[in-house]
Formats: sequence, C-alpha cells, structure tokens
Amino acid sequence: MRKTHVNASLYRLIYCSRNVIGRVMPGATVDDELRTILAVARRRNKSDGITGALLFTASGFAQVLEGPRETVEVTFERITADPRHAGVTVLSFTPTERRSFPDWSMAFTAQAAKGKPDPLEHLLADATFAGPRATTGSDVLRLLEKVVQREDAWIAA
Amino acid sequence: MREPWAMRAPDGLGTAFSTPPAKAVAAGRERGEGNRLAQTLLAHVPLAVAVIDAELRLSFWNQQAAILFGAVSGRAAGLPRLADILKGIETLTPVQRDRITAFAASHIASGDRTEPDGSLRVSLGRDRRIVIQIRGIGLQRWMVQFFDGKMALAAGLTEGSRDNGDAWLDALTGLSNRRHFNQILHRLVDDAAADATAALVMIDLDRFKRVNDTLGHPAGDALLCLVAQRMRREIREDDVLVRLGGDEFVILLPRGERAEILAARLVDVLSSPFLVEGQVVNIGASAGVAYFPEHGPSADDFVRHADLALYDAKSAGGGTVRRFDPAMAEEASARRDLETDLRKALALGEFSLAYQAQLNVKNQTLTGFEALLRWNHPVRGIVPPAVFIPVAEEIGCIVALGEWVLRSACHEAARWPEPLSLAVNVSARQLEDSERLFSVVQAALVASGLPAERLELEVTESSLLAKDTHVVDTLHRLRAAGIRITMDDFGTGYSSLSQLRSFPFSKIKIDRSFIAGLGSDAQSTAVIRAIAAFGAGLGMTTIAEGVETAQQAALVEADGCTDIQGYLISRPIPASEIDALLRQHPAGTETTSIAG
Ligand SMILES: Cc1cc2nc3c(=O)[nH]c(=O)nc-3n(C[C@H](O)[C@H](O)[C@H](O)COP(=O)(O)O)c2cc1C
Repeated sequence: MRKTHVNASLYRLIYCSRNVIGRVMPGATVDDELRTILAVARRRNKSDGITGALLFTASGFAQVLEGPRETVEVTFERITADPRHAGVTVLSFTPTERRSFPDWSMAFTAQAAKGKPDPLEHLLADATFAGPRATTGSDVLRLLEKVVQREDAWIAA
Repeated sequence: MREPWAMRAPDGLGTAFSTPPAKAVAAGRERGEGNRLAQTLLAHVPLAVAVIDAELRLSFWNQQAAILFGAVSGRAAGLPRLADILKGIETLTPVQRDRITAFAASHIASGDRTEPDGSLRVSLGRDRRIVIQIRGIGLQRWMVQFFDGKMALAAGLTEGSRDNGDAWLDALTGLSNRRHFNQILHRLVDDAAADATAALVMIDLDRFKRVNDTLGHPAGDALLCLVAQRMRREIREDDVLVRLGGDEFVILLPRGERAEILAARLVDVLSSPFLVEGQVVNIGASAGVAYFPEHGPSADDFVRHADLALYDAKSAGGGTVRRFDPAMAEEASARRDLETDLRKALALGEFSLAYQAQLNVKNQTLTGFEALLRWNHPVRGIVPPAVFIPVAEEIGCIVALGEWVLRSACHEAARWPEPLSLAVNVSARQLEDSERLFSVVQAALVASGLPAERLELEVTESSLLAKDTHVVDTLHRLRAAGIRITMDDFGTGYSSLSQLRSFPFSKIKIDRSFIAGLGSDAQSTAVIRAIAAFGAGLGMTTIAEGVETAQQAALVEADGCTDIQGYLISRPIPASEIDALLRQHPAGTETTSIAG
C-alpha cells in the first residue's frame, strides 16, 4: 500500500459575500474595482503561497483560498475587513490534502451575463437566511473548478 | 501594534498640538490650533511624547517629555533639534544620543517601514531604562515615544509596572487597559471644554463564553486579539480603544459625533466570521453608547450610563447598538430595588408554596402535585414568578430558594396519601453544582421521610443545553437514587425530540402555549400529537399543562396525552386545602389500569 502524505497545515477556505462596491463607492466602476482586487490578490497570494479562485456574479462573490492554515487565516482577516463586500459567510474551512487550483494565485471568473441564471443568488440567500449548509461549500468548489477548467481550455486553444 | 493612547495628526505644516493655556509654558510650545482633547490626553499619559519633522526637529512635546529632557533649550533658534534636546537627559552618553538620533533618522528614511515594535532600548544607569519608539503620523511628522520606568513610578504605578509602560497596556491585545482608561477618562471629564461632546462606546462580545468553553482558552485569547485588530482598524487616531477585561471593550471618543455610526460598524465587523486555529468562529457584539456631558456629568455617571445602554443592547438579544436613555436608569434602579427585596425575602419568610394537582385522564385519579413558589411582598403584593424567577436566577439566590422549596415541599408531601407524588422545579443554576444538588435532595428526603420514588424533579430544556455533560451526569445520579426526572416546558426552547433520548425522562410536560393554541391552530395539535406519540414510544408519561376547559382536556386526551394539569382540575392551592381537594378527587396509581 502506498502511504499518503497528508500535509497537516494545508487548508481550504470557501466563503461567499455580497458585492457592495456600488453602494460604498458611488464613484467607482465595478470593473475597475474588480481589476484592482484581482491584481492585489494575485500579487499578494503569489508571495504568500496562497492559491484559489474568485467568482464574481451580479449578486456577489464566492472565493476559494487554499494554503498554509495560518496564511489563509491572516489573508481572510484582511479580506473580511474589505468594505467592498459585506455579509461574509464561511461555507467551509477544512484541512485538505491537495490544492484544487495549484496553478492559480487567484483564478477569476465573472458570471454576470444578462439573461443567465446567477449561480450565487440562491447561495447568498441561503447564507443570509438559513446559515451555511454543509453542501454549499462543495457546490461552490465544484462550480469554480468547472468554470476555471473551461476558461483554462479556452486560453490553451 | 501597541497603542497606549491615540492622537491626531497635525493639521498642516508648522501646526502642532497646543497645550491648555494654563499649562502651556511648562509643557511645551503652543503652535496654532491643535486638537485640544487629544492634547489634553497627551498631557496626562505617563510617557514622554515628542513630534519631530524630517529634519529631526521637535514641533511638539508634552509635559512628561519636558520633565525627561530637563530644561528644553533652543527656543531662540526656532524649533529645537532632537540631538540637542537629548543632551538634557544627563545620564545619556554621547554614543547613546547618537544611537537614538540614528534610529530616528533611519526610521524616517525607511519610509516608516520599521515595524511599530521595532523599538530602541537605552539603559540609563543600573536600574533605569528608556524604550524609544517612533511612528509616522502623516504630513511629514513622526511621533517619538519615550517609555520611562521612573516616570511610570512617579505616576503611582508601583505594582506590576515595568520599564516599558506595560502597566497601562493590556498584555494580551496591546490595547489600553482599564487603569489607563480611568486616568484618561477623568482628565477628559475634568478638562473638557464646554462645547465638546465626547462619547463612550461600550462593547461586549456575544457568545464569547461558548468559544472559550468549546475551543479552549488559547483559542479564546487568539480570538480576542483578532477582535482587537478589527476594532483598531475602525477607530480614528484620537479615539482611545481599551480592553476593560474579559470580552469587554470600550472606546473613548474625544469627539463623539460619530459614536453611534462607529458602534454600528463595530457590531457589523465583529459579526463577520473569524478563523481561529483552523476553526470557524461566529460571535457577534453588542454596544452601548453614552455622550458627555449630556449623560454625565461625572466620569462615573458617564461610564455607568454607557454600561446601562450596553445592558439594554444585550437584553435585546445582542447584535445591536443602544444609546443611553434616562428610562434605562429608571429601569435599572427599579431592578436594583427588586433585587434588594428578593435577597431579603427568604429570610423574612415572604415566600410560600402553592400546589397544583395533576390528573391521570384515563383513571380520572390524582397522581400528585407540583409545588409552585409564591412571593408575597408586604408592599409590592404578589409578585409573579415570571418577574422574580429570572432575577433570582441572575443574582444567584435561586439556589438557596430552590433548596428551601425542596425541603418545605418534601415535608408537606410526606403527609399525603400514597402514592401521590411531588413535582419540584430545579433551575439550571442548581444543576450546575451537581454535588450540592444531590446532597440537598438526599437531605430533604431523609428529613421528611418522603420516599425517593415519590419525588419528581422538573428541569427545563434550556438547562440541558449547556454543552458539558455533567448536567446529564447529575440527572443520572438522581435517577439512580430513584428520583424521577421530568422535562418541563417542552417545545418552547431549542429542543428537538431527539434531545429526549439523551436522558431517560419519566415524564414530558408539554408547554401551556400549545394547549392554549388547541382548536385555533392546527400546528398545536400536530406538536402535541408528535410529542405524545414519541413519549408513548419511549414509555414516558406526557402531561399537558394549562388545561382550562373540558374541551381542551378532551382534545389532549384524543391527541394521546396521559396526564393533565390546569385550572380545569384545580388552581394552585395552599397546602391547607389539599385534603379537601383529595376528598373530591381520589388519588390513584398511574400503573393501575382499568380493565375494560
Ligand atoms: C472579494 C474579494 C476578494 C479578495 N481576495 C483577496 C485575495 O485572495 N488575496 C489578497 O491578498 N487580497 C484579496 N482581496 C483584497 C483584500 O481585501 C485587501 O484589499 C488586500 O489584501 C490589501 O490589503 P491591505 O491594504 O490591508 O494591505 C480581496 C478583496 C475582495 C473584496
């Protein structure tokens, strides 16, 4: 039997939040703010050893952060204080054996197309009114993995 | 980051803090309009503070700095230079002076990159040391702090004081501590200008105890540090953030206009989840706000009023901000009076017991009585249990009261015909002290001669919610001694039917609210049926309380309840009327079944 090495300190955090950029920064355009968030996230995550993915939709954000436990905790503490979002709800925070987004300091995907159902809408509603559900964390993870793979393929093509 | 006090950045070049006119000459320069309050605070912190510019020239220093430096020279030649000023400290060698100026220059050159904790220690003789820290405050100004052990002593900080001013800081979070708060508060109240509005924001964490209990103290401490860090991010530079102890914080705002906005923001950021040592922790916070001088005029009143506002926010369920209102003070004093009366009531013999009959519906025989506490105060009259029981719980006299009930009721029940049982309520506070409860119950049984099998203890679901298992252990011990345990007020709390499986209850008492709802809402019927079916399955008696009409009795019986209690059978009566009641309703055993 092969011995699996479990990296005890590698953790994955999944949270979602409401986007309040329009409310707290009336002058700013959402696009510009997103670009800034992403640029800062990628720069800092790279030097901190954090990887993950960020999903942006009309209703809010969902993010996966993975890395050493304490680094994830410190990064989250910084993110949660960010006035550009509110109603931060942790969907899951667990040790993990390997990263889901090993090649991304922060993969990004925006699902704000008109006419399409918003994949975060029910999640944010649930998170606000019913508290996090056990399944929602893995829902988000699966959703992000799917979209990121698709965009990966698109970049490679 | 340590923040033993807070100050505001100068408004512009050439502008620094001004001291109050009376103290101006002694304390330092007066230059332009500064923030008078921040200034006042600085004048009274037990450490020397100076503000320097990029050329290492002093534009401000407080009274303590003036004392440390001796006579501050250089007035004629514009702003004094740090290097010259240091010459005033006699015990400092030229090498030490150079080290200090080089430290300041390199910090400024680094663009404030030196961590706040990057401090310089310089010893002045054998047992005196100063610690120097420097920090940018914007507009090309830097604040230099000199922690001086001797000065701390002069300020009366003997016990626990250390060279670096720790006596004023909370060791865990690095925030100001209670002692520092008291000092600043009194100065602020004494020196406040007539037009100034200061404010206090009292903050208390919700559900913090649970974190400590379930995750342990180290996690609790780590959480408090994160809490301090989040709050620090929200305050302005002239606000003073204090940890009073435990999970209690206070912010003193010399300019209080923003106080309620800040309080709401703090409640908001503290309700966001925390990640602590690999765990997700959700707490929350409550805040009380008071203003000065409106809610003063003394420092004590100011604090007390902010506290009352906090108390109000907490009683509203937490997660909210309350501003002090004079009605809160009236309520608090009424409550204090009630507490005082309650503490004396037992000794003055103002309590009595009433007994309410319980009936088995199938046999139509009485099974026993529940002992109910009555308080008849000479002036207040009859005080409803709903009013005084929660207060007695909170101030702790419920334990003594509960013991009195046990002894008196067992004494009374011992003379009832067999097999009538006695039901006595036991509070959560009593269950916490397992040893004491057990021995009190035993003593009451022995003294009265009532067999253990005829005593039932009623516990509420909320008292079983406490995470620790020793409450359940206590119940098992009592059960093993032959005493029966009833789940009281079932359906009101957070209970679930599965909770009933956590302990072999002999009886479930369905809360009166469901009986009151019978006939008008379908849900009550559904709940009663579910509980009765569940009880039957587990071999438990189900008793409906608050049964007032024959129709209700018929309905609960149809829904499967075995026993009833309520005005339909009898109101709670004094012990002296029990014999008469027994002549109307025969006593019977629960186990006797009528052959049909
Ligand atoms: C939805 C969202 C996601 C973010 N993700 C990250 C991230 O992954 N890593 C990161 O360093 N900052 C992230 N940020 C930005 C942080 O909130 C913060 O602005 C940034 O880390 C800079 O912090 P500082 O100004 O305290 O240095 C995110 C912000 C938002 C609103």
